[in-house]
Amino acid sequence: MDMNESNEKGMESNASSGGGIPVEWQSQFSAAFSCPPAQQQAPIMDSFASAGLWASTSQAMALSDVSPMSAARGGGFLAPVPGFLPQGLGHFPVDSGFIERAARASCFGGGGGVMCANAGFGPADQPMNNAFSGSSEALLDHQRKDGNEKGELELGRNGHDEVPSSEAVGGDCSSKGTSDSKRRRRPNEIGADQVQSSHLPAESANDSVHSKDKGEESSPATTTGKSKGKGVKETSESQKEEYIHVRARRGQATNSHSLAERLRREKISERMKLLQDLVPGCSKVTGKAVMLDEIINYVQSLQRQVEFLSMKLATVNPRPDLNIEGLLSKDLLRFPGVPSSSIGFSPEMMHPQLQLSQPGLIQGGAAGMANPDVFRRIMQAQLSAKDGSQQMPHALNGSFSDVTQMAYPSLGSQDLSIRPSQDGFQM
Amino acid sequence: MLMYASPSLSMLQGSKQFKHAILKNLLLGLRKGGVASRDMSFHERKNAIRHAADAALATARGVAPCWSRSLTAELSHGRHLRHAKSRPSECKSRSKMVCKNKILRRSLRPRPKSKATAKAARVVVARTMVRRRARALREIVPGGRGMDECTLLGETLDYAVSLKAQVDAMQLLCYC
Repeated sequence: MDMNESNEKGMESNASSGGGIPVEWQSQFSAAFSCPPAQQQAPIMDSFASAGLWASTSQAMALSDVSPMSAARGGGFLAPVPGFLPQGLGHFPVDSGFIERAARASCFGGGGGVMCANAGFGPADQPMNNAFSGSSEALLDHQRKDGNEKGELELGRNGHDEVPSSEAVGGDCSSKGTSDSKRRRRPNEIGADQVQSSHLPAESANDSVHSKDKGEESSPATTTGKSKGKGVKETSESQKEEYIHVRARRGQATNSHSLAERLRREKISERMKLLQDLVPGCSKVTGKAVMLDEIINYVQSLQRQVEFLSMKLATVNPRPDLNIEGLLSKDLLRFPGVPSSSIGFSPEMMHPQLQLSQPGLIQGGAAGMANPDVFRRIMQAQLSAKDGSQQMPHALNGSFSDVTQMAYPSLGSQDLSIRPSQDGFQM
Repeated sequence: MLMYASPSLSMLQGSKQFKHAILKNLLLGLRKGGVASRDMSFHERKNAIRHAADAALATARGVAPCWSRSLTAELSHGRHLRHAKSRPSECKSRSKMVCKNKILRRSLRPRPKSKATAKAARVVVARTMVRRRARALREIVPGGRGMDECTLLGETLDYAVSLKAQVDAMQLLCYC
C-alpha cells in the first residue's frame, strides 16, 4: 500500500505535466485508427515503440477493443484512449495500473496479451522489440480478421516466455500469464499490475493453470525471427479452441463443474479486491458481506452527494461566461482533491447553507456538503449559539430541525451529531 | 446542434480529462435544458440539473459499461413514462433494506434440514447475506438487474469511479 501511495503522489505530478501530450496523441491515434488495416498500424506501433511509449500504446491497443462489439465500440473509444496515455510514460503509475486492472476486470478492454507482453518490455533487450513488433503485427492481423481475443493473449504469453523470469515483475507476469485460465482477464491485469504485483500475490500463487499448447509455443518462442509466423500459428490455434483449458490444482477435483466454479469464484474475489482498493477505509475489511455493505454505502453516499450538488446548483445561477479550462485550472488548484468523501458521513449531516437570508432554501434542502470550510463555520456557529450570544439569525432556529429530520430519517445514529446543536439553536 | 463531448475513456481516479468531459457535457446539457433562462420551480430546476448531470456522466463514460447504457436508456425513457422518482427516496428505501438485512442477519437462523452440521448452517447464512447485499447492489447500480454477480462487481467498480468523478466535477462547478 505504501508503494501505491507514493506512486499516486508521483502520478499527480505526472498527470499535470501530461497536459500537452494528449493533443499529439490524439492526432496520431486518429490518423492511426481512421484506417485500420494492419499495415498502417504496424509502422505506427514501431514508431510508438521507438518513442518509448510502448506501455501507452499497448494500453491504447488494449482499449481499441477486440470484443465482438468492437466495431461499434471501437469508434467510441478511439478518441478517449489518449486520455491517460501520457500518464504511462516510462513506468506504470499506480493509478493507470489500477484503472487498467479495473477496466480489465470489467471485461471492457481487450489486448491484455499486449499489455502482458509489454510488462516484459522494460527489462528485455533488443531481440524483444522485433518479437513484439512482429507479434503485434500478427496480433493486429488477427484482430482484423476475426476479432478473437485469445490470439493476442497467446501472443502476450509468448512474450513472457521469452523474458526470463528473473525480474520480479516479469516473474509475476509470467506466472500470471501462464496461470490464467480465463485468458481474457488475467494477462490484462498482469500488464497493468506491474507496480501492484504485490497486491495480487494470492492470484498468482493460486493459479497454476497452463494452456494446452504452451509447450508448443515455448520452443518457437525463443526464436525471435520467427515471431511473426509463430504469432499467426498461435492465433490460428487459439481460433480452433473454443473453450478455456484449465489444469486442476494438485489435490483438487477435476470435475468440470468445480473448475468452472473455481474460476467464477476467483473472478469474484479478484473484483472484490479491486473494489476494496477503491472504497476508502476498506483495507482491513475481510469477508464478502461486510465488504458489500461498504460498497453499497459508498455508492449510495456518492449518489446522495450528486443529488445534493444538483440541489445546490439549482440555487446558484450559472454564469454565462463560464470558461471550462479556467474552471479546471483554477479550481483544481484551490480544491486539490476535494475531500468530500474522505470526511465521512457526519459532515454530510451538517447543514451547508450559509446563505442565512434564505430560510426557504434551508427548509427545502437536503443534507449538507462535506466541505471543510463549511464544517468549520458550522461548528463555530454552533458554539456561538450555545454560548448564548445569539449571533445565529432566527431563520435557522426552527428550520434546522426540519432539515435534519427531512434529510436522513433512516440514519438514526448519525443524527446524534446534530441533536446537541439543535438544542443550542432553539434557546 | 450541440455535440456532446465524449473524449475520455479514462477511468483514472484523478483523471482530469474525464472530469473535463463530464463538466463540458454538463454545461452543454444545462444550456440545452434551458435551466438558466426559464422560470422553473426549485424542484424542477433541481431535477433538470440532476438529469443533465447523469446524462453528462453517461455520455462521457461512453457505451462500454453496461450501467452507462442503462442509465442513458433510463434517462431518455423514464422521463416520459414516469415522473422520475427522486433519488433520496430511492436511497432511503435501499438503505432501509440494507438495514433490514443487517437486522435480519442477527435473527437469521437457517434450519438445515438436510445438513446437520453447524458449519453448513454458517455457510448458508453467509451465502444468504451475500445474496441480499448483491440484490441491494443490483438496485443501486443502473442496469444491474440483468447481471450475474461477477459482472455486477465489475460494473459497480466502474460506476463508483465514474460517480466520484461526477461528484468532483459538479463540485468544481458549484464552488467556483
